[in-house]
Amino acid sequence: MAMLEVNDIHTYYGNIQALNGVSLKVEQGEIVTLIGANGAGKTTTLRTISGLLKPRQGQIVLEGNDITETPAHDIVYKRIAMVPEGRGVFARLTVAENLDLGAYSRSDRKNLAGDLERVFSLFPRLQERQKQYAGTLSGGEQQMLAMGRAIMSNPRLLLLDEPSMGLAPVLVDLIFDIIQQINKEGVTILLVEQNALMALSIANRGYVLQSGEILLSDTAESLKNNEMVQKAYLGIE
Amino acid sequence: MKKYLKPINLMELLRPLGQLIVFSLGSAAVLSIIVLALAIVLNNTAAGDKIFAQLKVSLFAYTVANLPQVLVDGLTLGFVYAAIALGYTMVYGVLEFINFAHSEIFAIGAFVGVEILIALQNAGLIGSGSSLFMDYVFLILAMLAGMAVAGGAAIAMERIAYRPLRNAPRLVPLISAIGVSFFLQDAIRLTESLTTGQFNRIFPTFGNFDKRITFGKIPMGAAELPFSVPIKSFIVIIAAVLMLVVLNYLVNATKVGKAIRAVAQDRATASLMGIDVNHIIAITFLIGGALGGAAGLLYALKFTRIDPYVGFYPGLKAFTAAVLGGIGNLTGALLGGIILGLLETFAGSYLSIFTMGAAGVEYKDIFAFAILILVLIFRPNGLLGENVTEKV
Amino acid sequence: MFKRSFAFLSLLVIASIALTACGSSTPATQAADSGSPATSGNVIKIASQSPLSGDQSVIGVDIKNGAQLAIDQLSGPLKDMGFTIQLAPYDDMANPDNGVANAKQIVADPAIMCVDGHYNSGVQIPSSEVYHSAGLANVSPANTNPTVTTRGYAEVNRIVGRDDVQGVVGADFAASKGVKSVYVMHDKTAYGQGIAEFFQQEAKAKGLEVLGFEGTEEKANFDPIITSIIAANPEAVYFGGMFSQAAVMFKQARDRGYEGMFISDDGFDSSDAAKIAGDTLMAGAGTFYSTVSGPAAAYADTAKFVTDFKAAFNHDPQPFAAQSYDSAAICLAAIQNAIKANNNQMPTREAVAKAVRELKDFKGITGVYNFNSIGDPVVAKYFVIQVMSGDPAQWSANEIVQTLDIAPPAP
Repeated sequence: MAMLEVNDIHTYYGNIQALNGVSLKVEQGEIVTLIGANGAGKTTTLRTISGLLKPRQGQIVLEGNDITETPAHDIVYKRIAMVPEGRGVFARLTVAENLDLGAYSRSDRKNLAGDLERVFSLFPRLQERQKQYAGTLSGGEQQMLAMGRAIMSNPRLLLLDEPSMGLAPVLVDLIFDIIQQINKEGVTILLVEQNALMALSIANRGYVLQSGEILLSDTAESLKNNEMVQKAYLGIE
Repeated sequence: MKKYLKPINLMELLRPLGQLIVFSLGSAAVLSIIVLALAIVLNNTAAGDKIFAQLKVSLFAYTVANLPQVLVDGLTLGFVYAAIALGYTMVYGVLEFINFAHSEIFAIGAFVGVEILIALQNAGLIGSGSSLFMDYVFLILAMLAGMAVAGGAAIAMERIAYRPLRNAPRLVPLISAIGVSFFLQDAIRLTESLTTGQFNRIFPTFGNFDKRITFGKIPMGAAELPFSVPIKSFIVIIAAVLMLVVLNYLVNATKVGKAIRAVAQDRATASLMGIDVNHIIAITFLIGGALGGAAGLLYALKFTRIDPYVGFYPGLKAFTAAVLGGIGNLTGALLGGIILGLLETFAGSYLSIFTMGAAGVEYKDIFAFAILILVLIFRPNGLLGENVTEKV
Repeated sequence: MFKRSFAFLSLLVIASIALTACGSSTPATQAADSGSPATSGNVIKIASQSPLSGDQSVIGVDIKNGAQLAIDQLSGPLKDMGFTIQLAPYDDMANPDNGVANAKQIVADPAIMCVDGHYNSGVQIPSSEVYHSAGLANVSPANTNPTVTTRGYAEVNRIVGRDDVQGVVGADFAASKGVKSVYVMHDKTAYGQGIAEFFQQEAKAKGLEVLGFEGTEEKANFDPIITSIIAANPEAVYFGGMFSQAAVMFKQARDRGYEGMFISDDGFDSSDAAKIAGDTLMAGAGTFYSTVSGPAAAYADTAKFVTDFKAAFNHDPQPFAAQSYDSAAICLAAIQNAIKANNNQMPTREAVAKAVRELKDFKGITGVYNFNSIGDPVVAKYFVIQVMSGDPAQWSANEIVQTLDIAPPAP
């Protein structure tokens, strides 16, 4: 049984259809990436899985349990965490408070100290800036904070929306290293990226999304070598 | 067991007290300096001559002699405004929405509290012969009941009139709030008319709240002015300070408070943290409503008489105070309330003398609102309004 | 940009709300009885207008009740002539807007031949413009502002005294008590400010020093004014206006240690004043008010009225209930005369209005009435009353300290 199964979901913004029957699977321990152009429906897919949007049709199944109707604020209790597009840090809260909110859903308070240490070892920068308001951090630091905050909920599945957006190349490398590291520690990852090359280089498998539909799905290796993908998304003529 | 006993963050608990003292003393000092300067300037003009002819003292001596009483009255009024303003600012902070019906929530708290006290008086439990201790116990109970009903009403109001409009354009819930405000005024009126046959209620006379503590007499020329503060003013000030301290602690140092602040900044992301946004918004209304209800009873205690429209002016002024201080900012609400209360009392007490009766106490509100307009022109976010540029 | 527009929006909202405050804080309500059945040929209605809700409803409801009692007791002769008399009570909420709106409904009902009303001069004056334009007779049981009659309308009459006299009565009383200085307050209404101005004029003429003259709409917090009063330390404080403000102010001033005399006007005459201010009214130099409507005992013929009123409505009549009884009685008498003059047919409104003005020596329970050319009674009674108890139930035991019969100023 796949860890996460998305079956034929149709999602709308008002009357505008954003997803037109998206299906995908994520297996335990994988990094799966979702690539596609702007407006293809990548973010909408993640927001639907996380409960922020409700599909009009289709199911989302987590380890055999239908979570389609589960509201966003209960999803984290199923140990799915999302790092939203644009990071979504709470600008007028301190770094420490942001991390604390990440652990809002936790009832095992005694493990929190350990998890906080884990976050600080992944992102030493956050430890230095604990008392600073999140709004005063640089873009890269905010991305670290958003990821650290998600880790604090102790997820088994992490949804990442455009973690490289707006970051300097050296920071992008760092972030992707850390994604791999988190994955090695046992967290399954569903990654949405515009930087398809980068995404495919760390992913096991990938889906190509276009106009709200899955165009292609294959292993990351094959997608990288696919001529159409190269042309459209990897900038290789 | 230990994990339930989170250590109280003493700093966080006491921080607003420090701000409070600074604000009170600061605004009092600034306003005092302004009136004293005015008094010196006007001392040798016709205004000074007139007061000398009447009372045989210089305008300056008159101003100085009256200052202590004016400051105490102004601060008391300011704390009443601040207590109401906390509710406005709380809801605005979370929803960016001005709950105009907060003034009626305030009235509900006042009516529930006063009706309970009237019932207790009729039952002979308070009033002549009751022990002072029980008087205070009943006052606190009446206030808690007022807070509970007002908080409940605020939750119901949010559920019925605001939640369905949460994603509508900003003006729509505002109109809804004004509608709720009128509805509640008439609902109070109807309920009171049906149950008690009248809707002007008088805060019962009991306890020692009307007693005044005299701090001596201030000489003014040949005359002496009594300087005294009624016990109820102390009650108002202490209660308002407690409300601020508890609220500040709740918002800044508890899990629920953190959730409230998270919801205030980004509802979608907050829900990703596992925060039930509707639940937190309801809690916000509950807190705001309970504060408003408590303020209502304090108002009735201080000013004796209430009617269903009693919330209108205090509500308007508290809203002004909240905007003046920087809406959405708890400390700002307090500062705004204190400034407005002091301003109003200063204007009411001195305007007539300084203008030789041309502009008397009736102009005190115009004066206060003129200040508001000036502040907003130069500081649109209010005195303590934050200027955080949101990074996207 | 957004923040600026928010600031602007909030200002706009404050401004608009503040501007409409007076009107909007007392939303209009329908008159209690506006849905009575369509008029058949022989139904004649007398309308009453008074505040049936709001601050002053204690008085207003008894104005309605007084009119009801008069119709119940005195419409016998008209019934014998084949006419049914009904009361159409309207709630003016002590608000000019509501009064005028009701007045328009009243003149639109052809069965209404006479109006017994209002309590507040500020409401009566604009409302009676409507009656005047429709030729509808109006007998006022309580309005004391001079303008009520000085406009010279043929339809508008009153059976009480006038503020220009009442203010004078208050000032003369203060002078007679040896008061040397006074601080004058009013409520900024036509009634309160008018009476306070007449008081001030007379006080100055009698050699009293007027230490302050201020108006306020404040209902709760009088601290700033009291600071000025205590600093000025007048021997008396005069309040031209209603008990709902005056009693609160008197209490707060007394609590602050003011020991001088309080004087007010007939707007103070309500047991609710005692409910608000309690024993503070008795402290210091005491509390006095002038009125055009004495306690029931001040009139020789009100004993039966008080008994009947109590039997019908289960409480003692408030001030002006007896005057309202007489106003309605005057309406009934005039209607009767007009019918007779019209060969027992339904009269015109003009004829009723004329008949009111022409009544000779009408003997009511509060006095014998003749109207002068502008509708003032040729002699009116004025009283100065001292508050004797802080207990609202004892309000009617307040003592008359002066009674005066004074003719109105020449029209």
